[in-house]
Order: sequence, then C-alpha cells, then structure tokens
Amino acid sequence: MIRLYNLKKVYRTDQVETIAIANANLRIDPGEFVAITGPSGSGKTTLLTILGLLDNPTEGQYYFLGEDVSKLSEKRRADLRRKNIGFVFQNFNLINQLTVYENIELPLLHMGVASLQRKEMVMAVMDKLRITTRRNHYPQQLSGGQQQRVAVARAVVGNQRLILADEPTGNLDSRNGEEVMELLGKLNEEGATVVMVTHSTEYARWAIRAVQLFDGHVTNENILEGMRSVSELS
Amino acid sequence: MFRSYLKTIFRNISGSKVYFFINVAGLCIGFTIFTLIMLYVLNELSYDTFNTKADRIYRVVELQKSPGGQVQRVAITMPALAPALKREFPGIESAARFVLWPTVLCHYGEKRFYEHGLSFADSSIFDIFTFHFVAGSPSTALDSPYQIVIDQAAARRYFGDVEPIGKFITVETDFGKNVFQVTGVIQDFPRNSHLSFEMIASLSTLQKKYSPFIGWAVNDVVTYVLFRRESKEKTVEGALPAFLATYLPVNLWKGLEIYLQPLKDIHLYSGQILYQMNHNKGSIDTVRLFSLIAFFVIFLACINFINLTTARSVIRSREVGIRKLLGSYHSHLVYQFIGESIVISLVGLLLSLPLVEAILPTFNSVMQGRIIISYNNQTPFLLGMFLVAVMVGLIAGIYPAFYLSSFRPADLLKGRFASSTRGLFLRKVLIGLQFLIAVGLVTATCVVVGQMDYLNTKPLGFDEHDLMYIPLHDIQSRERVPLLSERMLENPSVISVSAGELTGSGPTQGEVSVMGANGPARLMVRKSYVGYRYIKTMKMKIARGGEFSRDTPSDSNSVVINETMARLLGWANPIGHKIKMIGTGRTFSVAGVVKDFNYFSLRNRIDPLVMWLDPGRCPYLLIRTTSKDRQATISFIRNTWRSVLPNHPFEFGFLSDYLNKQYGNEREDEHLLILFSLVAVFVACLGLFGLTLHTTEQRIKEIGIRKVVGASLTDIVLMLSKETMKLVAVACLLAWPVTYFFMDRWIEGFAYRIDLSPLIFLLSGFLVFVIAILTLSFQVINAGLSNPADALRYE
Repeated sequence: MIRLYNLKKVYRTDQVETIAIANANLRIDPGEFVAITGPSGSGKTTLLTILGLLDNPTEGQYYFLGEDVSKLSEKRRADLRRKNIGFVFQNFNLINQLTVYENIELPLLHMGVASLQRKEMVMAVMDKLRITTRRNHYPQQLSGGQQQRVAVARAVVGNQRLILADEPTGNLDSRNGEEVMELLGKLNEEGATVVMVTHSTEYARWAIRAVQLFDGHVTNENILEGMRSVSELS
Repeated sequence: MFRSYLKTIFRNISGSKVYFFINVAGLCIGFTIFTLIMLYVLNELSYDTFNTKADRIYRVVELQKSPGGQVQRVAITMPALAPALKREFPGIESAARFVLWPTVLCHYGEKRFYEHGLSFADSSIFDIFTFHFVAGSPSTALDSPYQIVIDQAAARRYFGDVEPIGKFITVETDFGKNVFQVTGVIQDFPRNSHLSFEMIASLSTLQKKYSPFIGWAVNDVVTYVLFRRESKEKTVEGALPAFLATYLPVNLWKGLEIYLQPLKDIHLYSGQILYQMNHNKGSIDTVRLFSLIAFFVIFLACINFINLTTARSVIRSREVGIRKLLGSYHSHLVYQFIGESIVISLVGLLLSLPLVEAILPTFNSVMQGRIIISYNNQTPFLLGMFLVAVMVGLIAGIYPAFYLSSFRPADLLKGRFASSTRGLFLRKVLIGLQFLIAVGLVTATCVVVGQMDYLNTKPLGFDEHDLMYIPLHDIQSRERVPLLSERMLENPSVISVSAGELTGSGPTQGEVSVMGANGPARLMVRKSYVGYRYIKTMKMKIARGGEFSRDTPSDSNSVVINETMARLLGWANPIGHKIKMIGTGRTFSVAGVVKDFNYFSLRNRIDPLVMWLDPGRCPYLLIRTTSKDRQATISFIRNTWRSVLPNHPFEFGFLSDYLNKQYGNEREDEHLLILFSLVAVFVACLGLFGLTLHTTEQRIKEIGIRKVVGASLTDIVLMLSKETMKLVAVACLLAWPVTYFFMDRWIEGFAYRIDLSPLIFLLSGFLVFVIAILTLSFQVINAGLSNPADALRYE
C-alpha cells in the first residue's frame, strides 16, 4: 500500500534548514497496523503528513497504492485523500459548529455520496461506534473519549482503506485511551490499514510492527508481540 | 454540500454575535446611506431624460463680456435668434422660444388664482420637448395669438369636470387684461424637468402686445433648438460667430458670443449661468460629493469586514484545516467564504430597506421634495441594489476568502494554528485608510460649516429681519402703493414702507454708457427699479448724496449707484455725473451712492448697480416693522390691503425666509454633508471598536503578564492605544494636503470666503483623535483594570 524510497523532507526558513526526515525507506502492506514511535522532534508527525498526502516530500519517492504521489498537485492529493485516507488526531479536530452527525457526514459530502446512502452510512458507523444517541450533540458537549470516537467514525465512514492516527490517545485518560485503541484494533481486524504515531510504548503494543524514528532517520523496525499475535491477523 | 457550508456560516454567526453585529451594522448603515444618496443621484441624473429627443435638444447660452473684461453666461437670448438659427442652419430641425412669466392673476368665471406657472412659447416647443396631449392638437394649439395650453392640474382647478377646450381664461398682466382661449390640455409636465410650468400661451400674443419680444435689442426669451438626427451640432457651433456677425446690430452687443448647451447638461451644469429659468437647479459638484460619500461609507464597512474577518481567522483556521483534510478543494473553501460575506452583505441590505423606508420622508423633506423617485416599486432599482450588495460581499470577502482558505491542513497535525498577527500589516493599512477618509471628511465638513457660518453671519449690507413683502402682480396694485404706504404707516408698528425688488431675486441687467474718469466707457450693470424710501426701508447705508424723495421732482431723472460702480468708473465724487442708458437713450444724473450690499447669494461678487426710481415697475411692496407683536401687525397689514385692493388676494412673506430659501439648497447640502460625515466616521469607529475588542481578547495573557511584572493601568492603556494614535497621526498627514486641494477649489466658488487656516485642519485631526480614543477607551481601560490572575488562569 505504501512504499517510501529515500524520502527526504527539509524545512527552510530564512536562515535555518531543518531536515525533518532523512532518507527514509519504508513499506507498509494492506491490513498492517504500524506504530511510528520516537522522541519529540524525531519527524513522526512530518512522516504522517507526507503519508497522509498533506504535504509533498522534498526528495525521494512515495508510492501510494502503486502510484507515485511524491509530486502530485494539491488538487490530485485532495482527491486521493478523500477516497482513501481517514485521519484521527490527538485533539480530535472536529468542527465545533457542526453536530456529531454532521461532522461524520462531512467526508461523504466531499465524496459526493447521495443523500439517502449518506444517511445509511453515517447511521451504520455511529451504530458501530455506539454514538448514535449523541448524534445531535455538538463536540463541546461530549467527553474527550466520545469526541475521539466521533473522529474515528469520521475517519472510516467512507470505507477509507488507510487510517492515520496522530497520538489518538494523547488527550484521553487511560480508560478512554484503551477504548479508542480497541476501536482501532477492531477496524484493523476488519481490514483497514492503520498507521499510528505515538509516544506511548503501551499503546504501541497494539500495533503489529513498530517503526522507530530518531532525528529523521528510521532507526529500527520491529515486529511486536504485544496485545495481538501476527497469527491473529491471518 | 452547500447545506453544510450554510450551516457553518449560520452557526459561526451565532457564535460571534458581537462581530457579526459590527459587520452587519456597518453594512446596513452603509447601504442605507448608499440607497438614499443613489435615489438622490438618480433623481438628479434623470432630469429631462423623459424627452424622447433629449440627445438632440440644446439651449442657447450667451457669453457676455463687459468692458471690464468680466465674462458672464446667461441663458436668456434675443427673440429674433430662434427664427434666424432655424433659417440659417439646415441641420436645425426646429427652434423654439420660451419665457416663464412672473406671477399673474388669472380668472375663469368666479374662479380667481394667482398663477406662478404661466409661460409663453412658440408652438414648435411641442416638436422639441415631449408633451402628452390629452385634448387638442400640438400642431395647431399655439399657432395664433391668445391661445393657451394648460395642464391637467390647471384644467381641474378652473374647469372641474367641464371640458376645457374652447373656454376662455382671463389673464391680468403688466400689459393689461387679456383673454386666452384654451386650445389644448396636456398631462402634467414631469417634475424632473428643468422647465416648470402649468400653462403655455402663444408667444405671438406677447409679440403683438409688447415690443421687446421682437428683434435683437433685448434678451428676454430662452431659445431651444432641435437638431436633425444626422446633423452635427459641432459644425453649427463653428459657424455661430459668423452668423452673429451677420445678424447682430454692430453697436448693441459688443463681444457677445453664443454656444449650445446640451439638454442633458442643463440641470446639473448650469451653476455659472445666470437668468436661466431652471426649476430646482442641481449641481454636479453636489452629485459628485455625495456619490463619493456613498462610496466611502460602503468602503469603510467593507474595510471593517476585511479587518475583522482576517483578525479573527485564527478561530476559523481549524475548520479550514479539517475541511481540506477531508478532501475539500481550495476553491470550494474560497466559494464558502465569499458566499459567507455575500450572505452578510445581503443581510445588511435587507435590514437597510426598512431603515431607508423610515428615513426617506425626512430625507426628502430636507431636500425640499427634490427626490421624486420612489424606490419600492422600482424593480430595476432594487435589483441594482441587490447587485451592489453582492458586489460589496464579493469585494469585502475576496481577500479574507483567499487568506482563510490558504491555511494548510498539515498545520493541524502539528498543532499550529494561524496566529492573529498574520495580515497585521494589511489591517494597519486598512485602518489607516479609514482614518484617512474620516479625517478628510471631518476636515471638509469643518470647512463647509465654517464657510456657511461665515456667509450666514456676514452682514449683507441691509437688514433682512422684520421686513415683510407683498408681491405686486399687476399695474393696479402698483398704482396703489402711495395709498397703501400712507394707510400702513398709521400703525406705529410699521416703520417704513416702499416698493422695490427683493434682494436675492436679483436685478436685471443692462448696458450703460458713461463718462468715466478715463474717458467714455460702456459698462454692463445691474438695473434695479425702486420706489421712494427704498434704501431707508431696506436699512441700506448711503455713502454719498441721498436717496429718492418725493420732495425732489427731478428724481425721475436721477439714479443711485453703488460703491462698486463708482470705484470701477474711477469717480472720486460721483454726484452729478451723467449715465446714459443704452437702448432707451435716456440720460440720468447720479444723485447718491449706496454702500455695497449683496443682492445675490454671497457666492457672487457685487457687480456695478444702478437704481432707477420707477414705482410702476416695482414687483414688491416692502414693509419694515418692529419685531413686537408680529401677528397683530400682519393682520393690520392684511386688513389694510383688503380695504385698498379688495379684488386682489393677499400674499405675503418675510425677506429673511425668502433669503433662507435662496440659500436653501446650500444649507440642505451642508446639513446632509455633516450628517453623512458623522455616519461615515461612526462606521469607521464600529470597525475600530470590533478590532480593539478582538486585540484585547487576544492580548489578555500578555496584559496579565505585564501587570504581574509591574505595569500600571496607564502603561497598559498607552500600550494598547499607541498603535491607533500613530495611525491617526499618519492619516492626518496624508489627508490634510488632499483635503486642502479639494476644499480650496470648492471655496473658490464663493466671492466671500473664509481662509483655510491650519487651525481647521488641526481641529479636525484632533476631533478624529478624540473619537478614536473614546472608541478604544472602554475596552482598553477594562483590559487594564482586569485581574492578571484571571487572565493567566484562563490560559
């Protein structure tokens, strides 16, 4: 699903040049659950923005679903993103002016899904994530855990194949954190590819494979034997 | 999709009510002023356009040059001009003469009315202007003497339901009682016409009765020409000097030129033209000035919108990021934000409509009913306003839209949101621009108010207070002036009575020949016909000699001149000098010199003036009274009038009111200018208020920290207002020279004017400064007084 060859991302300001990612090579296959770990400033989030087609790399190649996407236009990236990628953030990033239902519906609107079908899809995912009773609430009226559920629902409502999660448990207490990880695990079991950036070794163990970054370099790739065994995936 | 955008638009609005209110209020006020001004402007521009041949119609204007080198334009011409033009130039399809007659007494049976709208014209007037005949035929209606065409209002007044055609109306004029047969009834002539009349009688009547209406000797008719469709008026204009040379008597009109004024220019571009019969004369300067203000007010509201939206973008940046993340195109977001600003603009327009409805009657009464366009049944006007609102939304929204939609979704992941310092420079520039406009408008207003105040308080050279006038419409009433005076003076409240002209209506013009200090000279002068004790009654001052008196029988051969005339002729002692009247050939000797007084608006300089004793030609009876018990005096005068002239309706007025009316348009314009400037400054303040509210909200933590480390209230207030004060200072420096340039040009139109002293400019800058400080003060002091602990905890 994802192939990175000698990927490099450099940020330039007037006087300073910062190498956020240096020569990263990475392969992520469909159905994998990958945790990206590393200390602050190691380039985790930058890597996620590139994987999420929110930014182009400075050098190197990025193949997404077999297509070289390293130099795509903003418009083409938006198209790919809309159809294939769902995002989950540490701070949820829901639109405060829209209700739970409307927030989840948003990606489907951008995809141009017909109204009736849209309703079915939103109801199905709300049902699955047990937030149906909250459908008319605004984000501010929900707990952190509930907001993150809504964010996850929004990430998968359009049957996106890749879920990118950036510290999804960072703003949650341990109980809610566990719940969200269970949710991601379940989605992964149902076939979604999950890439998660995390500080927490505890939550990283939900992944099958951990990619460690340090100063922009991929320093280690481990098959994890954590909560779930590799055999469970097959 | 669209619904989702709409939802966020409306929910955003409800989440930031203060800012929404500021935006909408600014736009609403902007549209209200804009609509009112546009109604006025469209009304002014609509004059004479109802004439189907408007683009081919011209009025002949004379350029008269006096020996002193002064040039004046008059829209009144010789009666022989129109037929000669038609004869000489095949390109001219038709030419007509028109003259508006002073008020006359008309009657039909028992019905008697003073008519203010009687005119005389050639029948060709119907070929040139667009008339709608209800009865009678335009081709024959005025082809013989003693025929008259009346409008429907006059027909109702005299004849009620009876058919007017063939009936006879008696008109009592200077040249006696005349009976006119009604040969046509026309629809009331539109009010947005420079011509205003209710009755048109055949000009041939005048020519039969009254010698001046023939030939080239005097100017007494307005001449209009209609060009053929294919002909070029330019070629005619080029041939006019040769034409005049052929026709004009050599000695009579030295240095005279004529030119053609297009019909569409008559209403607004006749400021420098004298003796025109323009009804409700407009001024292109006022139209331009008000249009500029309308533009400014809307522009100020747009700036508020741009500033508040970009300043508050930090709040919207998250929504933008999320939408982009979920695959929204940049262009969709641009549409969303532009849509949002168009919605706000339309809300502003919608709210302005009832406001306009409420203000329009007052506005129109201030404009003395000049606005006759009603906007609520005019679909094109409303449609136009709708388009303006959409345009305003587009202009105000386009920068914020691109600005807001440029936030990158990647920043969401990195937890970076747009900082409110982004676009700070542009906001400063825009606020500076608002102050610049505010300083400019306030300065211009100060100059106008100062000038008008100067004109209002400047002595006119006579006393206009406690001076009553009664129009003397016909010869019978004029003959009774001695008896009326005698009877009225029996009342101790009546100080003095005389016949004469009203200052402000202006004496007529003529040419005289005199022996000046440097030899013989011909001079264009103002001619004023007065009765005995005129100077005393008007409380003018005699500089030399004396005024006309019944005790001096030779006075019928004497004149009184003004100081300007004596000065122009270089006469140290004018008494006894001879003046010969061109045309009549009579010679008069100077019996007195009156100190200069203003017989026109103070816009005009004082011209040489000659006063003739001729009570029979004086159009008004002037009565100076004491200021005590005015009502009793009026009823005494009314009773006296009725006892002396029982068949003449009693009409009266006061000179001060009359003069007020003469300067009325300028006063209205002054009041409106003050009002509109205040509104513009208010709209600018609204924006400043909103932005300060936002800035103090954003800087609450900074203020807290500063207070913790020891800043006093004064320090905080200074810190928060320093920037604004700097902007006001820069705005003043930029606005002053520009305003000086324009106001200097405006004030040049007045013969008597104030100096544009630096004080006016400093004062207006100071005013804007104070207004800005007041706008800021509440929030800034509040912020300075806040408990720093709250601010820091809040973070």
